[in-house]
Amino acid sequence: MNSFHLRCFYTLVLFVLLIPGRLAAQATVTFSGTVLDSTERTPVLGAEVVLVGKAHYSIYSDPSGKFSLEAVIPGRYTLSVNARGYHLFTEAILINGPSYKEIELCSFELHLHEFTFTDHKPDVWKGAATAGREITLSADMLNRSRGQNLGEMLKYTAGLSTLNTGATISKPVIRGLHSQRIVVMNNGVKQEGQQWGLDHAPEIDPFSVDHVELVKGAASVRYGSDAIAGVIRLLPRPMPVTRGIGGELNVNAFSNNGQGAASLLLESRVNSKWAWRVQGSGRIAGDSRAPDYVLSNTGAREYSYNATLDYQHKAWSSNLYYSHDQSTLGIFRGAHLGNTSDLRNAIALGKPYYIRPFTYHIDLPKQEVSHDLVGYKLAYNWKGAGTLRTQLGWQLNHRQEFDRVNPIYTQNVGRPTYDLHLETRSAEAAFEHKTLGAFSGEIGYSYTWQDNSIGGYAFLVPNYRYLNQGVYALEKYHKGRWMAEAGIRYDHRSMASLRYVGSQLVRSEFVYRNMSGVLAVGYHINEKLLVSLSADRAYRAPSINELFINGLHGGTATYEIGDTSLHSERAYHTDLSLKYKVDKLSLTASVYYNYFPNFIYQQPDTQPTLTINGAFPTLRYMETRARITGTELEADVQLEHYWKTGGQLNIVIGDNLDADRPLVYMPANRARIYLQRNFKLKNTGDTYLRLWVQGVDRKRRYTPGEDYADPPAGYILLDLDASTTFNIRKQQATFSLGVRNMLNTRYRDYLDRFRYFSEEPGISIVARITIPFTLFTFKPDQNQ
Amino acid sequence: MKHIKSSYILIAATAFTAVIPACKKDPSNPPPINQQELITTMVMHIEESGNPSNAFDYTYKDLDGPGGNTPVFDTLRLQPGKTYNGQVLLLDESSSPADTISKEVEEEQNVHQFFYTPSVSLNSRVTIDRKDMDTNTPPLPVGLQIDIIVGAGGTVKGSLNMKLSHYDEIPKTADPSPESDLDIDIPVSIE
Repeated sequence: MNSFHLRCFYTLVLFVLLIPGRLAAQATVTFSGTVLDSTERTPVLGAEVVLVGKAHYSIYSDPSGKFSLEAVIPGRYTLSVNARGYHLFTEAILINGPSYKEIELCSFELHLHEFTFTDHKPDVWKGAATAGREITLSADMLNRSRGQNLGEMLKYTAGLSTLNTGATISKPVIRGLHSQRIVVMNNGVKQEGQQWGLDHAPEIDPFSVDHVELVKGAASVRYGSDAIAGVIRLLPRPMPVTRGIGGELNVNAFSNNGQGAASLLLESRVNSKWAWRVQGSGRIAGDSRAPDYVLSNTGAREYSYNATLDYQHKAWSSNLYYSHDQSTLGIFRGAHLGNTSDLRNAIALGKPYYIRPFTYHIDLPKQEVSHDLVGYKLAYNWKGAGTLRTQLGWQLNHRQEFDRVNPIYTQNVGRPTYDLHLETRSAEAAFEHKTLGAFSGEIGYSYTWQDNSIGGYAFLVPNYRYLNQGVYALEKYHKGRWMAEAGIRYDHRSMASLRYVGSQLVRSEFVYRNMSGVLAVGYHINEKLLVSLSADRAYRAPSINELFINGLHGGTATYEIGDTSLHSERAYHTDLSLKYKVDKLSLTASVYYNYFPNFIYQQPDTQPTLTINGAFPTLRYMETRARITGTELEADVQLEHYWKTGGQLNIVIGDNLDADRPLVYMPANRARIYLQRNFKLKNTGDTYLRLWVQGVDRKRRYTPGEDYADPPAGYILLDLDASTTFNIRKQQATFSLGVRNMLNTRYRDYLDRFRYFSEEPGISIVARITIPFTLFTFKPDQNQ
Repeated sequence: MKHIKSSYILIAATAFTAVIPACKKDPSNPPPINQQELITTMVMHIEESGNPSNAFDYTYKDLDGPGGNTPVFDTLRLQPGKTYNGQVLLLDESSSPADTISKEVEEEQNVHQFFYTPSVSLNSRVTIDRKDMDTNTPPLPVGLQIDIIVGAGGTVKGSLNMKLSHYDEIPKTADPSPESDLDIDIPVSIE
């Protein structure tokens, strides 16, 4: 992108900003109503009311069952109302003036799209434990980064950041922790990849995710092992409600790495019982570009597909899901080194030693990963008793990592360095009793079986197999201004591993028993302000690398040694959250304190590991007392007319208490603000221009000399987004154009493992288009 | 409704049992280790120039590769005022029969180079000349064959750093590359 183009672009942006707000205002009306239980005529709280047609609107009913959609463009719509424990209500309606509608829902037929309930749940449904720290990222918010990987999609959220391995691999970090301390739920199934690896990103097709529910902090009672720092629930879009066949096409392009990505979705509601969906997507990207040079071998190729079959009838609900993800990821060539002195030389050089012209070709080193997932959910609702939900899952993760091999090692050429097969089978059953007065709750059982088998010419982790069983009970209370929640869980894991020590085959057995618990209380000081306090005891069983790893880590030139005597890591997590919402202002603030009696971390050994290829610093997995505290602030303010602003602040402080020094690799403190200008233009829907300013401080709390290089300087990045919706054949399409790193800032990030070697990518122009379509509609029971 | 409930339980139970019993406790056998070809041994055959009867082999071994047991090596003992011819042999003794990796280095000589750097204490006393040249234009040293020239003088101890650089799609120059395949410090005693 040359400077002339840049200038033109910014001139255009400035011009758009100056366009007077109201070019063409369409006459709109108010559509309001009440949602009631059909038999008892009592109001239904939190029902999702959706209008789809000329435009798309949605809202939730309030405690008196009322809802009001203002500024509805008159026209024909499909009205659908979805609430927990009720039949889905759909009806075709014509809105040609202000109208009011009473909607009666038939009760106690649970509609299950997800093991937990989807969409923007009101706080009372979340329960006191997560009311203050659970957030939903809507499709609209995610669209901004659609087509990038999961880490990039989530990083614009308070409390989150990313851990990167060059420009290709990005993992979400929640409250300073990542990898095996975060649970990722894909379509209701706990994703089991080799997530312990810092350069192992979750194998997720970002196009398959409609919205994300995020729990920050511990949630072990519901999710078992690993839910220490947070839970990321990736949810598909709800199954269609209108009979017919439709779909959506998504295309995007990134200028920085020449990325093109596309996704095609087809879905259908066949009748009131059956619905299906298929989706396929692909992505191809070349080398990323830092402001001054190409980041060689950072291309990516990915393709994914998934299929869903959904059945709902009377008290039954069933959902079958299959997905396949396949990716080839180039690993930045400038990070391929021989030993520690090579690493020091590379840092001293200040730029990559290997720079070549841009290419889409992916050379060695690279990763080839595939992930298959099958999930089956079945639920039955007993009138007057409750709901039984069961779920089966099967996953196969196949990871191959290919290093660059010096041709003198003829036997290694063309073979994967590491080749890991991870198979996981899971089963869950939960019974949710019907609401009894102020009480709701569930008991559950979960079962997981996992098998890892290794290939490849180098040893990383052994073959292992484990069996994990857990039982839990959770009870929620909600009355008036108060809500409370209490839960308890017990897990038992037995694991066996086989590995060679010399020529001896050694079998090791491990048993981990863990209790988790949660106690929480929430209080509505008034209608606008909710305070919630939660205390969790969470845990995770040590991951396989922490127990067994024994080898050189290429990219970081360290020798890592596991310890088979490690215990389960425990966390005591407390969180105090405030949520304040009035007309034009919403504010969320959290303070948390996370104490670990035995935090598992890597302790540098005083003795380096001497090899024939030089001496490498030794890192041993050890336990220490640790403390992670922090705060998150998030605010959104609707200003005069068409202006909106908001921002976030993230502070994380981690300490190794035994060694009395900061924990390494805690994210640097950061803040973001945005300013948004909305426009009403003729023939368009939601149109806006948004400017983001992100400031990341230098990592100030660190131990000098602990790392090869000191933390990099802080930086400020500017991003710009412009988005508009318009109608194509009566369907609302979205087009957006954005600029990332608008000033082409040169910077390095503390949480990028390749910050030693290169700067982060520079400016990128991003274009996206989303086109929903209807192939045909079945001649329906339309009353208009 | 009764039969629905029971059929549901039946389906659920069948599905559960389909998954659960498939769980033998033992994982499958892993492949044996030592699958990786690597340099385990450096042998330098040393002969006094013009006096083949004064010959010996210097070895530096790490048979189990990185980690595990530490490498095993001696002190290289040289006499003042003498010149030696050295011949480098790299072996993978973890495979059987042992693999001679230095042959591959010789074949790939245009993208490999040995560097020999005496420590400061030896600086004025020991000079290493690499005798063999590759077929690049202009030719650059390889370093499988060397001359060790020891200056006259008293007893001194130090070390000699020996490094093998691989030039992987980058031009071979007189400087080391960012990718080392061997990097050892040999204790040296001139006595």
